Amino acid sequence: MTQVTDDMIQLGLDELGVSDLGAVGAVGGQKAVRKVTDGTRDLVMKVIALTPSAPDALRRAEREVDLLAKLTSPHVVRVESTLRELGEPPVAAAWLEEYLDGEDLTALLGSPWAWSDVAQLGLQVAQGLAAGHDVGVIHRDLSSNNVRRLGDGTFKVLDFGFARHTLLSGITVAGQPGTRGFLSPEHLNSYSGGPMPSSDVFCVGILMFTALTGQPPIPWTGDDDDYLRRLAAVRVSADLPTVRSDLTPAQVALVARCLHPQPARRFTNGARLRDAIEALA
Amino acid sequence: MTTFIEDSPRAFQAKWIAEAVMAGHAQGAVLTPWATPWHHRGGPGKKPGIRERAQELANDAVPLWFDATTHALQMGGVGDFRYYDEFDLWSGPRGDLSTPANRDEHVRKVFDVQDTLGAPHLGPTVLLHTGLSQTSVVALDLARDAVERDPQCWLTIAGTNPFWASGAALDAHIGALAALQPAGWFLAIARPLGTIPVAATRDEVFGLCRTVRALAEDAPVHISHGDLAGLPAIAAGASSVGTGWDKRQRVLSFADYAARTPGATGGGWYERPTLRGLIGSLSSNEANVLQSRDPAFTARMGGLPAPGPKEAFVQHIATLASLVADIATQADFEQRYRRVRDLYHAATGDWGTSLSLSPSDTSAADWIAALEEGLGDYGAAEGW
Repeated sequence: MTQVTDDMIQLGLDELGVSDLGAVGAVGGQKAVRKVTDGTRDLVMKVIALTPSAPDALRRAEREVDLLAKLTSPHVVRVESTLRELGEPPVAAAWLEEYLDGEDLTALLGSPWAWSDVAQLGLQVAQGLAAGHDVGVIHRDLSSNNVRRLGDGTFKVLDFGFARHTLLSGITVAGQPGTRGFLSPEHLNSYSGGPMPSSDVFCVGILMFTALTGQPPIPWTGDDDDYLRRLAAVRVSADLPTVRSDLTPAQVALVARCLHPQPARRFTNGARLRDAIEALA
Repeated sequence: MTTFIEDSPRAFQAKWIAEAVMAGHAQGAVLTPWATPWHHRGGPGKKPGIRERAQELANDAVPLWFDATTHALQMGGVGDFRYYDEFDLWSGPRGDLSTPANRDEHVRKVFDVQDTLGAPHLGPTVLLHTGLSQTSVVALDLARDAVERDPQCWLTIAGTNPFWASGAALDAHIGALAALQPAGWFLAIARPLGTIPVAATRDEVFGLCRTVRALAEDAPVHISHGDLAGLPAIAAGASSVGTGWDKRQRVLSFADYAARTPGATGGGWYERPTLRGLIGSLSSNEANVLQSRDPAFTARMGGLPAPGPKEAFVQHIATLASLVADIATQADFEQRYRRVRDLYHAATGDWGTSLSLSPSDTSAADWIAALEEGLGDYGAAEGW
């Protein structure tokens, strides 16, 4: 895998006209995230290294940034620039996003939340996803690492980085992205049954279940086959009430529907999940 | 809704359909390019053209569907194109869906025929053997083309036994289709053999039930050629099944789309009396023996029709519609499931009685066992 180098980061800073304020999150890998400033406000610069053997990566990134720039949801991180190619021939690409304070959801999970807080998490993440689903963008890699709670309590969805514009044909991948422990059954397939809007809904279900119980519903143990078997056998409607007896049947049913092994049995997309959570309030 | 009458390669009995609709036993007719010609022939023993047929049905207030049945083109041995090739359904070679332009053109042309006939838009599909293949991508592309052209269209899902039994691959494919949110669904199970009782399997029935339960959440589901074997799907939430007076309307079989043998006549009328209590049928001879040996039991099973093909059809569709309505009017999905399970349990016992009175070539093992087992798997998966 091609690594993002200091030279690539400098090329990005120059091309986008911003000054570096330091790394955000882990350093290294095919993608780098830097806190930057344009002199008036703080921003985030994302740099991806381009692999010569995977020329589609640039076109995919261009399209995704272009699509995300069109999303206007308070629950999706805002894109602040177009995607810029770095180098000639291009060795990397970079773009700017709004800078978010607060914490990643991962840091906030571990002990059970009140239903009202979980409902807000589910509702706002669903609203963010709905903005993408409405224009044919599937997140495909929703996990606690790319949901952020801001200082004012607002939840925002980050990194539609593996999203695919489902209305456009052409660039597709057979192997599906995703984060272990946050995969849906269809994440392990390709062809027509690959990730779909209801796959994102499944991941919201994982987030809500984990927030409610402190434990993920299907912990990753390192084996895809084992994970798929347990995904297909998950019975949230039976398991959840034993851990959270304070939940109403309707609340349990909502989370269980998000986590149904059959994608067609879940809420079809973010908008339908949003409506269902609002109806419970 | 309870039943739609499928198109018939045999003489098309428009008046029988009209009477069934008037009686509330059917809610529509389905025409296809495989059994009704585009060009008008007319005259004794000649089929009218599809536009004339549509007008005839419209005059009798029979709701009409046009099912292009594109999925028959992938059936092994397909070859009866007598009527099919009269229709303008392809911009390229017949069945060529290899390019986006060809797929979109096929959908457009199918919708154009439906517009001409005043029928709702029903998207075409291809026949699948698994939910996880390059062909299933073509099916998804066709469905997407149809919904982009008309978001209110219905979609078709057609597969063989291995497709409906393909477990997680089936569920994933259905999920991708469900995301398109069409106005309704036609589901078809294609079988190499046109035998009745159908050669259903437990896994297939379980897959069909799971699929119907998921899709019926948001839109009506019709089981093409479903007939009595479609009752588990009704339990899972489907609203109607396809049927007719001919065997070929009650099962979707490869054999019925194969090239015709020169001089073939199509065989005799299908006049097996359908008995509600058995959720199956007997041959006329078997039924007559049963009637003579125990008239009370025969009456309790639903009684026999008067001789004749129309009488057999009227009794069949009244019985089928009654069963569908019985199931569909249950309070919820669980009660629908329990009702069919109870019907199968009772029928299995009554088959024993029937066979003791009148030996038959078929039994509960043929008519009910696989359907009941698959339905049971569905119920267990739902936690019932």
